[in-house]
Amino acid sequence: MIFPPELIRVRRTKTALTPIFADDEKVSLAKTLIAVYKENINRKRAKLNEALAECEELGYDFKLVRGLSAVLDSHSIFGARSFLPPVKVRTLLFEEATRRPSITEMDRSEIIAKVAEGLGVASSDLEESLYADLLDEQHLIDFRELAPDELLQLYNFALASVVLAYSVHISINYSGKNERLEKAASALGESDIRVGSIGLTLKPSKQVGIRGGKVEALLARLLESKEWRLRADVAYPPRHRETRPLELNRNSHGGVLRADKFEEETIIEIKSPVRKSSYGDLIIIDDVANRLGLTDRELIRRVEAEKRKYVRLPGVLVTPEKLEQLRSGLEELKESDLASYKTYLKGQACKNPIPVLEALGYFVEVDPETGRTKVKRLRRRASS
Amino acid sequence: MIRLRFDRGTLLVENDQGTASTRRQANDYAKVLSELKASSLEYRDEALKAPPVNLPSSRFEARDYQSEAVASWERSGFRGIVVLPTGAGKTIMAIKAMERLQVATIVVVPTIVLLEQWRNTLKDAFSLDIGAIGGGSNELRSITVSTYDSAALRVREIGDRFSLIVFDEVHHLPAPSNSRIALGYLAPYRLGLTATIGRNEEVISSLKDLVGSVVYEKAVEELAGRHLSDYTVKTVNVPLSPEEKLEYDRQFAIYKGFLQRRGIRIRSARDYLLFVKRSGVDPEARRALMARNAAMDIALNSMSKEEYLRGLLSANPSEKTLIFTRHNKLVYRISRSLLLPAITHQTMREEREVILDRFRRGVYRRIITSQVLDEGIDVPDASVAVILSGTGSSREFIQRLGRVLRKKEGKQATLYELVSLGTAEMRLSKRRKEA
Repeated sequence: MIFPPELIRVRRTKTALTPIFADDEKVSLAKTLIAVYKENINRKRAKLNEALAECEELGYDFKLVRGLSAVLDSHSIFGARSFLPPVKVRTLLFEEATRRPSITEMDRSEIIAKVAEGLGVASSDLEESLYADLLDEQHLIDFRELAPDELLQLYNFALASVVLAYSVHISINYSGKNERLEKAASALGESDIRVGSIGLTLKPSKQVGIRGGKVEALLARLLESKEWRLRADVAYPPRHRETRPLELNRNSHGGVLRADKFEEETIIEIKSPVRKSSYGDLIIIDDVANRLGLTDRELIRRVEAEKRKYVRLPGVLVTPEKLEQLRSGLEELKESDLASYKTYLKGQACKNPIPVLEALGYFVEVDPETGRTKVKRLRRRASS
Repeated sequence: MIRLRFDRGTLLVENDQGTASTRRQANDYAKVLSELKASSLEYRDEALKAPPVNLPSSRFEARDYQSEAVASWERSGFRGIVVLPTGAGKTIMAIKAMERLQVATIVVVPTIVLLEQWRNTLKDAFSLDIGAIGGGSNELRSITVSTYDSAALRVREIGDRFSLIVFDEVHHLPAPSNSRIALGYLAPYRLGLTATIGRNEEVISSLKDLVGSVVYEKAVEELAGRHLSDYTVKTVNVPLSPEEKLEYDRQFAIYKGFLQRRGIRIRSARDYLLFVKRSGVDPEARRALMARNAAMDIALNSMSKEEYLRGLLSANPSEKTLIFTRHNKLVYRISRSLLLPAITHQTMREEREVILDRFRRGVYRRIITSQVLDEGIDVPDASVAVILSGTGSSREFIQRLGRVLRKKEGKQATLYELVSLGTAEMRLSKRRKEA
């Protein structure tokens, strides 16, 4: 999980940027908030929010209270509880109400009773269903309890991640080989990653708004290392152009930060059936590796383990039969516009046609005269 | 020989050998070109790759003020901002501008709904395939409509493909993420459209750099009667109930007391922002802010307004009425109690479209909404608007008024503004009507 940037708590001096992590003194607040969530199971979110607003008056920084609540939200399941589909209820009630020139309280009761009768439900159930789909009306159905110190560590992890999302440069030192860490680093955009003997450096290029989850993945992988150290140049708040260095290391922060294992476990559960299934005739390495959370090398190893013969083209694995079929099919295309190529490849179960075209020796060009996108042949046959 | 090249959202001015170069913002393209033309230097322009277009005359007839706006924009070198009230036909004006220039054009809009609306209108106008970028579409044509977000994301890639860029709801442009578009596209011709430009000097100055100055402006009053409906604005001061008044005074006193103790004076939006910022680190300031919010909550969402509205709707049973609030909380409270269809940002697109369609067909006669219908959504015509609560923004006020101004024979539009008597809301009301 990651919380919104307005909840960031940092100390910014001329020489450093330091996240204000939740220390042991905040255990009492953590206990209170966990209790609030437990008490509000089966109650509406609006009620929970009221209780949380009261916690903001306990004398703690409201950003800390909201940040901790955001972590607890990610451990909660909210859901609508309604007897009838809310949209249907609204349509029937509003239609009936429009037939009357005005709505007094008595009119309202009559309308509710009439529509409820038509649907064969009690008026109170109809009322309850009217806006049951609104966020505030949703109920806290389940809350996965966690220990207060765990809550603080998860909060600190989320805080570090959201601050690191504003990095313009990150350098990491870690012990041992960590391909998953390198993969997580490369997901931060067209990163200029330099893996050396002592670690890696990267310049995130993806938009700040979509970096958060990727930074979390990177930090989670880093925490797995026996020894680690991270130094980032952070441009936060964004209105300040000058960056400040932020340093985290295992000795000082290893016990303060904790990645949410539950989320990772959940992801593994969802993905495991996919991993077992066949990869098909055509594999776009980057797409499939990203989807499965693997490095390119890991994916290729797994595909090889299936003992099925694939031809390896740049960025693509394809069975020899499928390759021949695609080559012939593409050669037969009479139109040179991209749309025709896309249509053909999508018909061949290829969801992302551009990398396949490029792997097969075609390139896409925009005609400056007409503005139309054309596909041209780069070489007769791609080497396989 | 000097060579101009577009390079990933910037303009490269380099010598022929490519050994010396200066990098400029793409936005400077028109300026650099005009400087080169005025000088005796030889140059080769390889920057702009906009395809030639041959637009047929659209089927739309321009009204006199729309033609005046196009002429005025042309006199300003095909750059600048046109300010016309909601319902006055800014799209038609832009179509006439495209017809006049006959160049590859990108229209940038703030929402996906507007993207669809523009695309349909342009298709209808020119009987051409219109490109779209955003909302799941990614088709580039000589006339393309894009959302602000998508246009910003693709600056490096397509910033050299258009000669004209039209910014709908141009007041959104100075936001940092949006200004990247104006800075990164070469388009020498620029047209900004808005219902109101506001009075913020910083915004006006930024827009001047990015698009140009205001080249044509018509206020609602100038078009009412002939091109827009005649209208009346009725401000009704509604007293709070005794309980509400007591609580309002109590909360407001906490806020005022804090300001007095600390010697803080709130005279501008900037002062208020500083106070809000202080509340992030000062617990007493935060308590004061919370108290102020509680007081404003009472004033903006008072039960007395709800009762007044009930009477108003009862007195105008057949009028198509749009009711505006500032907070969703009030929307849903009134939707429940008066059984009125509601639209907020939480309303799913399908349901919103059904509600608007039913309103258009007269199946529903009233809709209550927060700020989501202020702009960016094609709202069917209504004759009565009720502002239950709002901000002090004159833009918001004009946009809400514009929702009832579409011209119809014999129509007399009325905007009711309900304001809690003896509260800070009265200042908000005054401020939004000052522009």
